[in-house]
Amino acid sequence: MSFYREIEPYIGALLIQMKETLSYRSDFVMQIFMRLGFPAITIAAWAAIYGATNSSTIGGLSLMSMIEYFLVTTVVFIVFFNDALWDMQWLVQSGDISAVLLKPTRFPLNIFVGGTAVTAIYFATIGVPILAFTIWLFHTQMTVSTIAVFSAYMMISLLIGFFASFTLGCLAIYFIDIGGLGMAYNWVTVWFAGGVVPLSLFPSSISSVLMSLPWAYQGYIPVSVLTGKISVAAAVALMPIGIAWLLILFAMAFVAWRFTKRYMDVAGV
Amino acid sequence: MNNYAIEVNDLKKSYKTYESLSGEKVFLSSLRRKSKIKHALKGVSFAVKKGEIVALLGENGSGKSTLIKLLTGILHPDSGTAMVLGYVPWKERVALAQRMGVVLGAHTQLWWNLPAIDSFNYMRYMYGIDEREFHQRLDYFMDVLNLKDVYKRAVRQLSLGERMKCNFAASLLHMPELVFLDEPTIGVDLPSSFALRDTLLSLRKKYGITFIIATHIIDDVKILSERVLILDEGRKVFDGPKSRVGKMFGDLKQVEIYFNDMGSVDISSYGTVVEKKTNYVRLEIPGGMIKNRRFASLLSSGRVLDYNISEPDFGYILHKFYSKLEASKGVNRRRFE
Repeated sequence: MSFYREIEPYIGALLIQMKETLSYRSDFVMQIFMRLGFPAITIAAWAAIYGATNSSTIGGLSLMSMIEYFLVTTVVFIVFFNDALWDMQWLVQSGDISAVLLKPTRFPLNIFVGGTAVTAIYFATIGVPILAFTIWLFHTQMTVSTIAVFSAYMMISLLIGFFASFTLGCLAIYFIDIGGLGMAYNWVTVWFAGGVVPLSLFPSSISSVLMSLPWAYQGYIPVSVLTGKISVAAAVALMPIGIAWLLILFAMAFVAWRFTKRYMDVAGV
Repeated sequence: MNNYAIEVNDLKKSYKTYESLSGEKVFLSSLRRKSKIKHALKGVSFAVKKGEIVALLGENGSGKSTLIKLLTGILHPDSGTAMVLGYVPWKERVALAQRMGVVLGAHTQLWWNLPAIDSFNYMRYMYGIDEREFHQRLDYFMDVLNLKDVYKRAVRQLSLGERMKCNFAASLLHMPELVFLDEPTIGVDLPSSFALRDTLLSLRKKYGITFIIATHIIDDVKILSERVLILDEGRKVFDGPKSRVGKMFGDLKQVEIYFNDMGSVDISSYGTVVEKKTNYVRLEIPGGMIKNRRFASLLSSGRVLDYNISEPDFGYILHKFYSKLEASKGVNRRRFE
């Protein structure tokens, strides 16, 4: 079978999921506002903190650096947050998981492609304009090596996000409703990836622990590379740890899916 | 060349089900539950030739859905073997799915918020259908299923019948060699169910597609299938031509008699009364009774306005079959008690 034929079903899945995402215009606009709302609140909160302290910097970061950090964070978060967990829950609850398994596609890849389609839409409509605006406003230094390392981290971020979400999503087959777990996972991710407080502002003992966890490689490190808080050389040096986390989470997703299939078999789902 | 689409040998499958403990306090009831092993299939064997239409029948929980899930590769059996289009389904699911179609009455293949045409296009990518072929097939299905004014509307705006027809078309666009249909006409209005059945028969005739239909709708069985496979509590209890189900009860005929005046005729002396209304009776009689002089004289008497002799209705035969099955279980149960 040709390579194109191998990937053709997934191209179809990507296109139809994109159409589905855009099918309700008002919902799409609301989703954009919601995705802009969180960074707007975070920036407003930090502006208030800067206003309340009489220092122009906190942890070595000025307010403008902080704004730049959270604008880039918004873009990076669009890439790595995906709906695999919620999609799995929905498929299990509705019983449609059987219908998906009847298709000539690999189930995990199908879920990945569906989520990536949504990511691509929001990256194009929110991520790219914010990125361009940030680079223009803050005169961010964009070298070829910065772009290359940032892009590599974006891939790591996207895949870590998917594997983690998919692994947790597999629990839906046992517990059916994993909405609470999904919300907890989202909050842990936001905090541990530096979505509310840059990891460098935590006490050094906590910061060093957080920097060794996968979330840092999804959010904080890529953002810091682009905003110049971490040098390209340092980011490259840290990349093997990010890749190791990626492989660990891939293995976890692989095992979780095997257990899920076995459980479906045992329970006759 | 193998002439069989499906070959199944001694297929067994058990699974674990959970029951919440009733009568518990609110929090405990969600935490405590009892597991139980359900033997869904207890050694089923059969073969289906290419081009056959087989109705898979059985009461709820008889093992039909489990059998379909095994034959489509979603589940692994505990033991036994199966070959579907030359593949072991649970080992070669993706390759088999490429050549097989499944219509699930309860689950749609269509994208709810998009026009049906988008789902059809998705199927083109999914199964690698050549663009020219795709448009030819699409035209064919839109024409025979009368969907020309429908397929550009969002699926959520379609009626149940229109959705089922679109679902049917989506499952068959890649012209599979074998199609599993699970309750394909459930909730569908009469014209739509006729359109679906006609299309199915025409596809079988034109392309030799094999169909396995799991249904509770007796008209589906009557119109579509020649062969019936009945499951009960995970066992195959009947496999053969539809006409043979009736023969199990002897050579029976169904007689409908419209009376001018029924008077004091002892109609039950001729056979079993199935239905009785004022001046109308439906009887089940042994085939030989037609030649009986007393019965013939009744039919030709002035009391009878009109009558009709026919083979018994298949739905009724099936009902008798299930009743006999239940009765035999009672006998068996008593034997073990």
